[in-house]
Amino acid sequence: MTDGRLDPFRRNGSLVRYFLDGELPASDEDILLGLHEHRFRSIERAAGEVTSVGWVSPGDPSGNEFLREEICLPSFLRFRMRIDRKRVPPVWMRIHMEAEIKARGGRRPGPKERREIRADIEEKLLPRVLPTVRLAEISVDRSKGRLLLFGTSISVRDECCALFHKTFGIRLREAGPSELAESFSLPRERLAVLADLRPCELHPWNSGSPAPSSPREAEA
Amino acid sequence: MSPPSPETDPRAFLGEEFLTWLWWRSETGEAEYELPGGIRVGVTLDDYLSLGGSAEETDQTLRRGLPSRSVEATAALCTGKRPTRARLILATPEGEWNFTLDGSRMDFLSVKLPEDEEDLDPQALNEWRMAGFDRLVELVDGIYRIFLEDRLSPSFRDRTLPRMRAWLQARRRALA
Repeated sequence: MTDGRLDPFRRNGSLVRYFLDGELPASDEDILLGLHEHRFRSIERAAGEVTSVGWVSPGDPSGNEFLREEICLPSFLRFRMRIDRKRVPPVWMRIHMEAEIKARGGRRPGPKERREIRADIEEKLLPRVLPTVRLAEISVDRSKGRLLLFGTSISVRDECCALFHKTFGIRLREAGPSELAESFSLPRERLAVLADLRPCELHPWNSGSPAPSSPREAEA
Repeated sequence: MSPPSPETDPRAFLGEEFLTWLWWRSETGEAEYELPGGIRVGVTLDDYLSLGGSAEETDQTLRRGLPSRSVEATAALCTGKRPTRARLILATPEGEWNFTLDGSRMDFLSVKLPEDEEDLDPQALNEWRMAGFDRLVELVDGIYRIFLEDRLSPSFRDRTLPRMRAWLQARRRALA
């Protein structure tokens, strides 16, 4: 059971929806296995790694546990993508860079030497830096082949598409105006119009045709 | 694979035209839509409206009150700008959703779900909320489909577009 540790699903939020370009495994076991194989792995103590992306369950943000009852709900799959990033704060980098330059006699280093100093400082400081943590909620309706991602930044979209493909071998197609239009199985003649569609000019005084003087005239 | 963006989707303008069409219908007594299954949905613009044009043009953001009725909104439409984002209220007998729709991507921003049903256990509450987001997406898709059927039909240029232009013309005259 979830024994009260599970955050309730949000009531507010921003989302992007995707179409699944393929079918998810029918068995819950295979879903859980896929999530576990591409689970989040901590970079808290890592010296070099600056980003880690992986799946976590709604009740365990560490990525260690994937409980069926939290993830495989009767109508949806619910899980999260965790993105941790480690970066030496710029002020710290500047302080250490200046100290290093001073220790080397005060001569301004060239670009290559500067890169080497930067790498040394990162190696020294990154294990002491805590990563920033980002959790993006995901809901999947398997029967409709639709995924909702609760995060709209470009980086979250890109990470989600890449990780989902790596995990399940399925591409996600973002449901923008074109994709949606093409998903509706519209009649062939309408789809032909869609293929060559250009924006319509709403302001008639720019379109070359005289504007109607009233809604009645427009109806006529 | 990079996701489609307004820069890569050749018909991203359709989402902005969709917002314009919703706006026009909401101000001309046609704010209600009948979706498959006999579901009736009402849509009106709320308190946020962003208007823009080409990438080089400055966007104009209007907040509070009824931006869609404002002089600034009319002036922006008259200079060829289109709504790029609008805060909408979508009402059905099931409840009311409040959200901002990004036209060029069809993203749903700052969605507020209808009130939770009472006395749900935690698991049922999760499902209720997830279904609430899913339902919103389906309702908006249903209305977008109605828009497309109109937009892609031969009668759009002869019937809908002149009426939309007359609406804008009337708003423009009201400025004078």
